[in-house]
Amino acid sequence: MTFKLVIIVLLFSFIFVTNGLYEDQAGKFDWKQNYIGEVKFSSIDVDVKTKRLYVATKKNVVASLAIDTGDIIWRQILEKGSDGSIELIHPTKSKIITLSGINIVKIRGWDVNDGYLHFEWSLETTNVLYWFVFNGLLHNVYSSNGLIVVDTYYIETGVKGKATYTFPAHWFNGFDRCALSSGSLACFDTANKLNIGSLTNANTQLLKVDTNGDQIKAIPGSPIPAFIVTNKNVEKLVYTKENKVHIRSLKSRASLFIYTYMADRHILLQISSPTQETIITEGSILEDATVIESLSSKETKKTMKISNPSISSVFCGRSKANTVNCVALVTTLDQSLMLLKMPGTIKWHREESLTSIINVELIDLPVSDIEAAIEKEFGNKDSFLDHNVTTGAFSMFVHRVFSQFQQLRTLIATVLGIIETPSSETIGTKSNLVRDQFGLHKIIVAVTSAGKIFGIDNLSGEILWSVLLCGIGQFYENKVDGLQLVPMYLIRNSKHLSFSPMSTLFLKNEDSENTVLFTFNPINGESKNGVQQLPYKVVQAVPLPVLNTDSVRSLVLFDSTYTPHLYPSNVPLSSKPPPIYIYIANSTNGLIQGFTVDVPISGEKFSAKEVWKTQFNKPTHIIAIGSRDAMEHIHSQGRVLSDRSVLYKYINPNMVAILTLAPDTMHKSVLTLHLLDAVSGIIIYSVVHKRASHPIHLVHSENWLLCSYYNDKTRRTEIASYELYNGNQQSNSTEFSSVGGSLIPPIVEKQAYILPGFLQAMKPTITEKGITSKHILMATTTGHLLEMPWSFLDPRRPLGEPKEEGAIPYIPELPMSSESMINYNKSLMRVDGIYTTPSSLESTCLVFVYGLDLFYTRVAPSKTFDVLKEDFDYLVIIIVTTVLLISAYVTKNLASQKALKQAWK
Amino acid sequence: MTASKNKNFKWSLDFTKNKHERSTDIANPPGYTQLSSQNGTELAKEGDSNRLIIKKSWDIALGPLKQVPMNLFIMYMAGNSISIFPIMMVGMLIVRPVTALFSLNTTFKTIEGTQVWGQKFIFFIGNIINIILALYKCQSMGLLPTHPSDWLAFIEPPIRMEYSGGGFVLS
Repeated sequence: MTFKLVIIVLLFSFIFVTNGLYEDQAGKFDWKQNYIGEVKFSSIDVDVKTKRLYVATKKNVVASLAIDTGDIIWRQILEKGSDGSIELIHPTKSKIITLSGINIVKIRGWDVNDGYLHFEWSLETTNVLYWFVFNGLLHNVYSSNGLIVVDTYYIETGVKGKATYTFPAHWFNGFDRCALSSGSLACFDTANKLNIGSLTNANTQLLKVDTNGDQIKAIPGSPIPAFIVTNKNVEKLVYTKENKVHIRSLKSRASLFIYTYMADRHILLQISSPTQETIITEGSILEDATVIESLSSKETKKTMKISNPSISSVFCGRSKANTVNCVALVTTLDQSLMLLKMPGTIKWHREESLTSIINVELIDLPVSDIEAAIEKEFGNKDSFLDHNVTTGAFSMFVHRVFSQFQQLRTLIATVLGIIETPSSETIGTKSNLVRDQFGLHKIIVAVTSAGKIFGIDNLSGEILWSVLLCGIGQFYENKVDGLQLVPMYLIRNSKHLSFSPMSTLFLKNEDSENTVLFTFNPINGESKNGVQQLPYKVVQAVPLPVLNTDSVRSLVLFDSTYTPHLYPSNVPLSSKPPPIYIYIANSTNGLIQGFTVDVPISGEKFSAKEVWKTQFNKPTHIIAIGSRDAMEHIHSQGRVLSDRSVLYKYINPNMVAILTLAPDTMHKSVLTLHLLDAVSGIIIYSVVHKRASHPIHLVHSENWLLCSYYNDKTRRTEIASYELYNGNQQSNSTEFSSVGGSLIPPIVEKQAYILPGFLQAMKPTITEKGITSKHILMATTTGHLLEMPWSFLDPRRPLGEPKEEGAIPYIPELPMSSESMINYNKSLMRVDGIYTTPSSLESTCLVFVYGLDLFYTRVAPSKTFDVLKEDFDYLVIIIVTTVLLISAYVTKNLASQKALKQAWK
Repeated sequence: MTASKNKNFKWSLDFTKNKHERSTDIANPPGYTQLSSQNGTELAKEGDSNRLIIKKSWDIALGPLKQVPMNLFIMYMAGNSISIFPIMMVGMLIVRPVTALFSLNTTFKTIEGTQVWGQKFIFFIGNIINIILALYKCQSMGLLPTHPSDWLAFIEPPIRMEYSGGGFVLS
């Protein structure tokens, strides 16, 4: 009985978080794309029946792809970071064997059909130079006691082989001067002469090659030892065959691949792309340099851009017409992967750079032409500064007639079926790239670390355009985690009818470190004169709260001497901006400085004045800064207590949270959270977490903060929650100023919760007006995307008697119910970040999760209160209302007839 | 008399009317006077009916006050929970005195007398007491917007006086 009761109580306690998805809703609002990452090694299955290829990538993924389509058949994700970095793959008949890790090396065998792990053994080694497989034996080349030692192992069992060879240490002199190909080590000696020695038997002699060079590269996957030697920009192919060295000079810079065609014949394949549209392939017999016509072609592709192609693996066969046909797996500089059928075309291609998105933004689409015409006619001048509203009566009349005629035409066309309503096939076309009624259709602009920008349709996940940032500049670097960083600002949004939207990327010039601005249209990726070199290096950029006369949101740029500049310069602003306070935090020396800038309306000649500075001394270093989303609106200014009084929220738009981490002798590491006012420089509040370490995530929204960290003492992930209140009185309800007035410190409520899992990313939902309650999206290492209502993380969850209505009593563990996992069975691995943006529907928030997989969905934290459910029965309601109307009339008539009859009685 | 006859037989046509007019005019029985039965008592009770009117109108005037204990009982029974029946009851408690106040003049139209002002005043006071009671009920049920939390949704967010921005040094 008690057990039943407990079960019932448990079930009821989950009623209000049951936010799950119905089975038929799966995939309706969401999509997921699986990727594998930049390909490092690959192999094409020789067995024609299975038609597969196997890849190992820089994202530590082993996967099998279908040759015909490029779809992933199976995918296995190894350890993160250097622990799982794949150093070698070796295909056997039934298994793919991978070698991963740096010091503790794991050798694993994966089933070719389904990717199941067959075996695993590990090996602890140090000073490893190379790994290679020869005759089914794994060779470990390492340096030890002034010697080069080669150990051999049976690759499937890990049993050490009998043979161990040693070579003199002078054979190897640095990774930049040596290369290993097919068991042979080639090195430049001190006189820049090339020496080649085989490491597969004990008594080999060095082969001296009479060639000079300054760079050496092994040809990947070559069956015979083959190297490319560069000497003063001239490339030569050096290969050994039957202990003889052959040298072949190369005409052009191309990626090479050697394929064993017959026992003693090899095919040399070359691929190059002199311009981004053309792809040149050349095939020849390695030994006698006869050109194979069927493999030599020059193709022009208008639809895609190819830069620096290189062949990863090849499979060749003889066709019925007795010509040689090959398929080559080609990788490019922008990390895309394609299968080239020679002779012929590109069969498929995958954009693998989408696994390394470093900045993303969802951008509103412009309104359709008809709506634009209406807006032009009726739009007031204040919101649409940029077009000329016609004022003459006649011209307005003509305008009206014209726009109504256009509307009529579209209506008729839609009715007659000439214009199709947007369907999945036509969604990506240009005519459909218009804003929908609810603002749910947007474009995802993603910048990847490969230097490629993508425009992705958020409803279908289709790539609409891509731009390669080749030669424009390099990315900034994040000093905290060493990752690449690219600031992106939407300086003109889609609301301005006569101007196209504009986004600006901040890049660094490769030579001078000065900033390069790349401006493009985020809707179609076009950029006209988009590259602008600045004569200084931008260290911080802050958008102004006012637009300039071109409807561009101007940016205040700080150069390295902290001198402010306006971008775009020479364009006056539409109104005088209020004083801007800019803080700049330096993670290397722990200095945070605050500046004030007073931008004149002309936008010319202004200077910055330092107003405050804060120094965090070594060994404390700043690891994160959390500021509120600039788009965020807060609807409710307070919180209702149980006695119906109001606890007013402390909403300081200038407050930023600064997280510092310092090593400590007692507590290992100490995490400190400072709440700093960016205008006055006052530290509003500080709190210390002892024994807290990475991974640390910080969320700052409304009047609350969440900080997740790993607690070393209790060995679990904890989320500390803070909330700031003004108390029962609002000091100034009409305006908020960080300076002047009474500076009453806020009341800080705090509480910590335990998350049964490990976080990869955390982000709050955001809606247009801020009426909808907030949920926190958490990506866990297990691949779940958890939607946690903020009320679970509320620091005011009562310990004893509930203080407020609807408050959940404090329980330290956060629930992780399967209904609240919004990605249901689509696991998201290696999540780098979550991006949330409001739609025009107050209830709905759009979510884009990126990492190894891309996932897009939409969430409604307070349920979809402003739209009818999609399964709403329109038919029933129409029938019911018509029946009611008819019956009302009928009964009215009947009633009057009856009354008449009664009167005659 | 013909009128009364006509009234009794509405649909009958008296074709004999002209011929037998006289014969139909029957004299009253002896000792019957038409006015004696009515006028005698009326005149006797002239002062009494006036007193009755005043009494009746005082009844009307004191009606709302008499309802007060009943209303208190209803309120007590309704409880403080907000559900459909208590809300209906409270609604009735408010609506009735308010409509009574609006129809004050029509209620006292038929009543004339020297005490009419006093009666009106008492009637008014009684209804006001009822309204106050109903409002007290609303207050105890938490239906009156008397707390700052009731006006929270209308508070505009404060205007920002300074703008700030920034972040890590880009390097």
